[in-house]
Amino acid sequence: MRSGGTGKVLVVEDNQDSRELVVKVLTNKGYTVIEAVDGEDALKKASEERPALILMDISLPKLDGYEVTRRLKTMEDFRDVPVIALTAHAMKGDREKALAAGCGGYISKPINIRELPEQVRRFMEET
Amino acid sequence: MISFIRKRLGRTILTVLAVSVAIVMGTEIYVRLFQGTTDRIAMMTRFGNELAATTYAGIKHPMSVGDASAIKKQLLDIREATEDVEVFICDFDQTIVYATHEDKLQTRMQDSINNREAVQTLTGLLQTGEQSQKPFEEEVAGKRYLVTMHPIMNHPDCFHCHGASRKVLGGMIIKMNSAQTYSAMAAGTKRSILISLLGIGAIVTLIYAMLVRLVSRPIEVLADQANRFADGDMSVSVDVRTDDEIGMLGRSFNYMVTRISSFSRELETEVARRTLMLREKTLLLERANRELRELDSLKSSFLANMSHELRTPMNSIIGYTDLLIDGVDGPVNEEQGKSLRKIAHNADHLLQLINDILDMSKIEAGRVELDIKSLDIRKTVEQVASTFQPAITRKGLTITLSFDDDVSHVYADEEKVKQILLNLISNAVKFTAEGGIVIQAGLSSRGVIPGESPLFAQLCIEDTGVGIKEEDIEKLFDKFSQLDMSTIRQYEGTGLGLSIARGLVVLHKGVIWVSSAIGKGSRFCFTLPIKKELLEKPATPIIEERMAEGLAAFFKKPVELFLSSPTYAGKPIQCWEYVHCGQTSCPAYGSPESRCWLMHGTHCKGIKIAAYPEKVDFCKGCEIIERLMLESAEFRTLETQDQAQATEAIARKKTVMAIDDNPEAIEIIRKYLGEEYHVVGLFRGESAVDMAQEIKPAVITLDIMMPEKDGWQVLQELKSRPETQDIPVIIISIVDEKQTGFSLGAADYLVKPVEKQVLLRKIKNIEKKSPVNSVLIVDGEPDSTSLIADALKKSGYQVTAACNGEEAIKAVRDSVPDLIILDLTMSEVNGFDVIDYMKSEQIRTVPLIVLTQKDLNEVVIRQLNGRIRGVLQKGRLSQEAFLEELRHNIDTWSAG
Repeated sequence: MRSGGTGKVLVVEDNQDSRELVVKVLTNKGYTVIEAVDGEDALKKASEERPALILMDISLPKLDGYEVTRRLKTMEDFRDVPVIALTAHAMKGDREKALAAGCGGYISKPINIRELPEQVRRFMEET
Repeated sequence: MISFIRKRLGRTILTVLAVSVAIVMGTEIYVRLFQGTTDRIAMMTRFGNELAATTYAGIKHPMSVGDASAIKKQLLDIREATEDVEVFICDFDQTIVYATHEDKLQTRMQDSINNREAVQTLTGLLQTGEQSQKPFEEEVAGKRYLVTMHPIMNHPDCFHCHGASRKVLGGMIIKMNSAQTYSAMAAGTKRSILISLLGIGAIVTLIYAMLVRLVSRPIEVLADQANRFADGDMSVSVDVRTDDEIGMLGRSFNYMVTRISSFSRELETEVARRTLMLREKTLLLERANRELRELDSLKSSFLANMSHELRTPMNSIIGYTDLLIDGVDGPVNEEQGKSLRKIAHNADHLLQLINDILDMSKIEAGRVELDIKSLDIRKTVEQVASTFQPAITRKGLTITLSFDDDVSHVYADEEKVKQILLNLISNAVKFTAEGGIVIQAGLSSRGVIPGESPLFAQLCIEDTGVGIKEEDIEKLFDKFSQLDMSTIRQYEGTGLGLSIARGLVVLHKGVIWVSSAIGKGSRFCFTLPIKKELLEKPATPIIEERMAEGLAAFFKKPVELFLSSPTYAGKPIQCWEYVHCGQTSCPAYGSPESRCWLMHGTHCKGIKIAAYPEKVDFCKGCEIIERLMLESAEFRTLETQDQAQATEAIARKKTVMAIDDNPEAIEIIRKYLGEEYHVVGLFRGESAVDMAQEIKPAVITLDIMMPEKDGWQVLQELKSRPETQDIPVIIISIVDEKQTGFSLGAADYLVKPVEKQVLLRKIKNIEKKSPVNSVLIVDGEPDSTSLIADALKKSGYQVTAACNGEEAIKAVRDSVPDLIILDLTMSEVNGFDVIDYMKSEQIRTVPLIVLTQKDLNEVVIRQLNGRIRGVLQKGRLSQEAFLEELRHNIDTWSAG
């Protein structure tokens, strides 16, 4: 398995277990991972930490993932930071909504932890 | 001519008659003419003979004395006396010696006769003296004559001049002009013919008139009435005036009309009854259906949410298991690894289930939207099939793809088509142990009008697997129907694959079906559109007016009802919403044609359509529309009517509360009772008791089969509340369960359809009830009698007891009680004899409480119709309970 992940990743996820899983997988691959537990927290952590990539859960308390993404994309600093939507909503239109909000990609839950590092690496390389 | 005669019986008879009379008259005229001519000739001959005889007598003496002047005078007298008669006397060589016309004297006789035969006869006569009996006819200068000849014989008186040698001295020839006779005959003939013709005319006219009056007219009237009858006029009858065959025909016709009308009335009543029954059932069903559907949609949204909630923990389970398996936090031993892999495998299966449930619920909730593109069939199938290559190789199977040249593209959502194929191919692989799988694509003939190009492509996946039993094919596409539960252990699966496949196919307006032979294999086929239009939603709904007309015609209601911007569940209704039943498997989901077709009833009436071989759930378009109508029209008007009437008429009339979920039934009761009572209609059982408490109706009529709360419940509740228990309740229902009704306290029980007079009479009867003071107990068992009597005496009633029918009758004669408690199982004079007596004028209105050991039979109930206030079964209750029940019955009755 290729490692070599560098850079900061912000994982926005309200479910602790899910969040920790992603954190563990990515940390294990060498990424620096910052966590946020809801939408507001995400905006705060993003401004503070300036991550290179954001994994964004969509159904979040307070502000949902679409809204957080939309707000981030209005900021100059985050225009080029890829935001990848993570969602259990496998509904038609979720992908479109996520892309419309400014997400650079889309990973549906449940996450395949064996593929996740590779997906993250690819998104980072693309930008 | 022939046809003119054929058209009327009168004309035919007239013609036959005219011909007959003409033949008879013709014969008569002919006979008369022939006979008349003969008679006339005989008469003239006789005249000639007589003239000859007198002339001869006159000239005999002058001849013998040779007095020629006397002879001439004699002839002259004849000439003067008779017209058109010539008399000639000639000698034996035919020389005329005397003649009435002197110019003929000394001429020869044969010159005056043209008839050759006559001349010969004359010659013979003059030689032999034999007179010819036959006269001769003679025609001279257009005039007809009759000629008679008479010999003048030689007598001894003549010997002195002529000697004795000659036998004949000469002859007398009389020539009579017969023209007059003939013209008289001709005149007679003409007269005869004229009279005959007039006679024929008169007779024929008379007979014709009689025929018309006695035969034709009544038959025409009969035919006319028969035609009216055939057109549905049941009031026809024929006026019968005679006892002849025509009269019989008329009477038979009238009898037939009466019979058919009565049959027809019976039939109508029966149809009305059945319709009412059907309607009640339909309403119940509709309600159940609606609730089911609501439940169904609730379930769908619940499942959608649930699936989402389920995925979150699944995410962790799968993720952390994978972490462990991958040894991220350090190695696991072999056994632990095995266990973890089992967890991972089952977690995958669970996830698959969740995904399928989510898919299914999305399809059912109608939340799947298609991303329609032109799709390369070959490429799509190859892509999906290739993912099965490892499994196929592992099982040692073969896979063959076959594509017809004439089909390359379909219009469909790529992901969905792949999902369908995935489901079907994975099934084929799963259930096949040896052999192979054939995937074939071609054109479908479904829905193709001859001469037009095909609409659908058809894809079939055929395997050589275990096959499906015929009886299972029906439910194959149902949810969770892996057919034999044991197969679940053998073949993993969620049991939702085929339902999802069907849902997705139907979303594409396609159909899916299967043919299979057990042990030989299965063949699943589905269709996808090759024309984009098939998938396009109609841009505009059908214009309201046309839709309204269609609906009005179908439901036989005024078109205004549908034009008055209808709403359903608070929303305005557009045409397509009429048919949008929410079932994605509904084949009529779409084109305007199918919408109209659906509106016109085939589909929404629930008939399975052969063109759709898969099992379809049927739309309920009609139900929605019908309910809509009921609500917007009848319910509203009825309820406003109620309010209006309530304010103005409550004070005036007694109130009857009619409880029936069918507005039409209430309308009928209103029609029946409206003149004398104020009828308050109520469509639901739930509010009945409160309403009854509020308005205190004199009588309640109650339907049994009602949704939500049925009549039995309403009745029990009415009878259990002190405020309403005294209100008499008449059950009016299609359900014939009198026993239950009476035992629950109904005052009377009528089975629909009810006649106006019956209902009025029942209500009047009930109203007439008076407080009960005296009670007559008629019971065969003395113990039982005294028990009841004691109990009632304690309650303050005046009690008379009778042990048998005879005593009962006697007791009634002595004093008429307010109430009779009657045991129907007495031995001597049994209860039924008493019932017979009860019909007598004296006690016809006394109410009854009936005691019986068995279920009351129909006949008895009918005999006592309207009078039974309660039925108590002996032996069914304990003694106390029985007495309590009885007291309650009487109290209830007495209270009013």
